[in-house]
Amino acid sequence: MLTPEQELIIDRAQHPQFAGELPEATHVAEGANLSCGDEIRYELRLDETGAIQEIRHQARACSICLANADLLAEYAASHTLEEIKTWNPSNEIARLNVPLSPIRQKCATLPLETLKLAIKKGTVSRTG
Amino acid sequence: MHKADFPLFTEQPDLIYLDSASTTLKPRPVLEAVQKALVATGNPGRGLYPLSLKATELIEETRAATARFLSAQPEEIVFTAGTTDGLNRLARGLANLIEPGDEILVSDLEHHSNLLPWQQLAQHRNAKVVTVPCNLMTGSVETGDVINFVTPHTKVIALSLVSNVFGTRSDITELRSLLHSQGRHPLIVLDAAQAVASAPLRAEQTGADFLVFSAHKMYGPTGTGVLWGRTEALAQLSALNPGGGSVETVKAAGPIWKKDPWRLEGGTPNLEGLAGLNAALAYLDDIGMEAVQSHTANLVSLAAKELAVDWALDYRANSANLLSFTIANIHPHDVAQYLADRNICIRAGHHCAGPLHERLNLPGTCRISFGLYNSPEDIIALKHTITELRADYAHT
Repeated sequence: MLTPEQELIIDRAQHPQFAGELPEATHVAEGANLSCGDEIRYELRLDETGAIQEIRHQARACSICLANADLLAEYAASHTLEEIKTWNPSNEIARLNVPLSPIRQKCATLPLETLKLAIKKGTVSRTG
Repeated sequence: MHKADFPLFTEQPDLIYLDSASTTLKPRPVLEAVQKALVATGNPGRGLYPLSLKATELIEETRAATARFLSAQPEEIVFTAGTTDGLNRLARGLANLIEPGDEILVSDLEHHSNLLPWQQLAQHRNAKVVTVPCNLMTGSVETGDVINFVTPHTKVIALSLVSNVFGTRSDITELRSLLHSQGRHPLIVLDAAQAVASAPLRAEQTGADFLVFSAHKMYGPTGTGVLWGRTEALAQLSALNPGGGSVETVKAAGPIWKKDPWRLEGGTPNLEGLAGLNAALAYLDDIGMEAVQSHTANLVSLAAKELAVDWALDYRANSANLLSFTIANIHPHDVAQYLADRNICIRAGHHCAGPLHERLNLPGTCRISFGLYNSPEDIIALKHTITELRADYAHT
């Protein structure tokens, strides 16, 4: 049996709400955890005011990374780029509300690293 | 089955440890030998008092025991800190033999430890690393696969005896004699890290010039390893770890080196590690390596039959001690975490074999590997837990 928190993570990983490609994306970045094989790509489209109009991700990753990629996309959609730049990776780990070893903490923080890179570069870039 | 020999299971009776390819657990005789060495040995070869003499005896007794284990000679045994250390020392020791344009052959099966030292050596000496693709039908590298890549510029051939991803054994026993008959003499290095605890290992019969392994892969402690080399091959190495203990003396004109293998062992050795290695060798000798081989082979066979997983790499019939698999739609790390939360220890990822996983287009796999403490019950428990895993993931 899984804990409710684990079920939430797996459910979100298997049924993401923000997965897919984004036409006319203005900010794109890719990230990877080379030691475990997690790969993620974020695509954002900003409106004329500089706010996030749409955000999407594509990922080939474990459930921790997939779930957090989607949760982060949902959370980021209602925040400004300047706010996202200040977000702390430890909050990514806390959001999932399950104990994570140092190795799996990297799975949880990869989405935020990649999103920040997308914001910083504004074009196709890669971390990892 | 020897589970009672391993004190960890007294503390954790429900633990199912299926990651011996990563490191083996330690039996009581090894733990006791390590503690005894920590309590009562001095620095070997330095003092005239009993504690120092005892330390010297311990090292040479371990050297003799290692030689017997490998059907080799004591003067062919060099102690290192492990497989990675041994391979790095070899790469440094062979540097003077490598000229610009020379070639070092490796396979795409290799663990990073049998790849990176050679890449660094090639970079340093303006040489080239050439990769022999493994035969995906057999999951191994055979003499016929390698010979086609040997050229007059080939100076070193570095291969794994048993793959840490497939568990398959590569047979290159005829390679050395075939090359010598053609007038070619590249040095052949075998990474025996996975081979050493899975079957009897007779160093010369492998066809290698050098062979390396770690004590912690064969029920001994970490921080200790063995480099075996044919006498004439060791003689070609520049001093691997020059320092106190590797010389008779140092004059103004330069060092007067000890004979091999002591020339190649500078510094104070890891005495407690060697004591543990010695005890591990005795432990395995008591059981008999044929019995060890039979034990792990039977478990591999049972696991291959019982586990309903995707054998991405189906070399079950030829695996010495481990099996790698995936489960559809469940990432290997998720599988490993689920099992870890239920006291079952497996490995997940690319197992330090990046090039191989890149060739297979797999980000990672799950790996189970067997030791003397495993039993058919462990496999059945794993089988049931995988069934629960699939159900839990399907339910969400």
